[in-house]
Amino acid sequence: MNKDITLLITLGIASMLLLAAGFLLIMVVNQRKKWQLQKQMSQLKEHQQNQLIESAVRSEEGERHRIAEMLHDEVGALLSSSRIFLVEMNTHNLSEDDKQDHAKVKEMIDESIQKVRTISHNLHSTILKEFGLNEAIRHFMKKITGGTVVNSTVDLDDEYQISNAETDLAVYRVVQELVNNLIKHAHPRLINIRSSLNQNQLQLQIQHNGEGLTQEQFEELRFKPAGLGLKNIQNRIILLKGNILFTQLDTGNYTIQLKIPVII
Amino acid sequence: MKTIQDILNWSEVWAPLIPLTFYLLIKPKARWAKPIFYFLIVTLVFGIAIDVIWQRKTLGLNEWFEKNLWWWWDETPSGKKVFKNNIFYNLNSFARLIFFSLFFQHFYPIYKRLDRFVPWIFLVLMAVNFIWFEDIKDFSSRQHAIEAAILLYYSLLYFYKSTLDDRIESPSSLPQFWVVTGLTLYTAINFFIFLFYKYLMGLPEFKKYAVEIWNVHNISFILLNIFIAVSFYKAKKHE
Repeated sequence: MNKDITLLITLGIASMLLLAAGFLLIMVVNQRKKWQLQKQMSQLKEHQQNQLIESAVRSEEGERHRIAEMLHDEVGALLSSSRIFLVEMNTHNLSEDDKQDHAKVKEMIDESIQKVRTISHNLHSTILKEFGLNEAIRHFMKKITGGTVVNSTVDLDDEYQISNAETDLAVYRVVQELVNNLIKHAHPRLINIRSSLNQNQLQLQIQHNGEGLTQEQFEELRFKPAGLGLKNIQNRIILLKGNILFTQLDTGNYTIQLKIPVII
Repeated sequence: MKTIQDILNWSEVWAPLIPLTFYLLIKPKARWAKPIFYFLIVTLVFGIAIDVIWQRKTLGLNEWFEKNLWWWWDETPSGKKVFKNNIFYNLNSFARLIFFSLFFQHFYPIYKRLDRFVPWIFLVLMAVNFIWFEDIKDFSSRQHAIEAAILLYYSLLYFYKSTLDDRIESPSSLPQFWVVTGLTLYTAINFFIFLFYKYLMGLPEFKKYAVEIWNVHNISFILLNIFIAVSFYKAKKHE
């Protein structure tokens, strides 16, 4: 009887302990498995999302390329032919007024040729392909701020050479979109672009003295239907596996920092 | 062997000092740590009272107890005078339920709903028990077993809820997990000890076994305190 009771209690304690420990073990193992499954699912989802973004960006680039080629080869060629005919036109018999009109038309055709070329270059940068990212950014800044009240300084790290044509194109498009947005919405007087290369990471900083955005404003705007440009920027940053940070400095100026992993 | 037994005998005093030292040194900011801290203070005070009363002869305090606390002494049916410390076990059991209920409130809403009536029903039942059925100066197996069952239910409910919680990557990475694990082991081990302790102590042939089995309680109590100390440390790292 004595032995029975003590054995019963000892067994009771041991079985309770085993039950509790077993429950704990099963719970921890199950939770780990569940978490791993969730992680795999979210990775798959992220991968699919990236593929969608990539195909959207590719088709956008393809469309830009097509429009640029059409503008350059068809509209540009048509305008150049028109100019040749206009130049070869006999203007001796024209009245003074008609001569002035002729000169005006020629001037307008020249301007149109120039505009078509600029648009075509913006859509499909040959400078980027031939001379690399740094030169393309310098050229773009010179073009966009030339003849305006906006001053710009560009200080780029020349250690950075072409790493990957697609990366360069994406970075270039982001810079292009950001600077276009700045000029359109922030109305700065000064834009400063700097870059540095640190351990396979390209850091680009765009600083300006206009009415810029903070990170919160950027996050808010990029989900609005009107913020298509910002959404494009974010998509390209996701594809580049980089990050973008908008901050306001104590001086009142704003900076946009891009950190892009690159393979040299 | 005697030294080990002495260490175990005094574990109700020194074991809470481990997590208390951790708490006071690292001061974790987690809100759930507060009820545990108060529980440790209360359990330390009761632990000192329990062990000093128990070891009064070894400590040379028996005369003082006889002289100054004469009203506390009871007489057994055989005429032997005894000075019981069990009221502190009963009070400690109630304090444990209250403070761990407050601790669990910080995690899932279900605990708030349970807390509206569980500790109060427990209090009423214990009041009824001590007024009509048991002497509060005796160890209440009923109270301790019910308290252990409630806390074990709370602990298992926590694990079940955290299994359903998608935000948790690894349960063991959460600091409170260690408190709940310590409590689960403590209550699971002690449920049967509490349930049969009074019965065993009442029978002379089982008294030795009852004293021996109380060592298992002491070991599980030491473990609980170590787990609480680990949780305080992890809570600080989480900040």
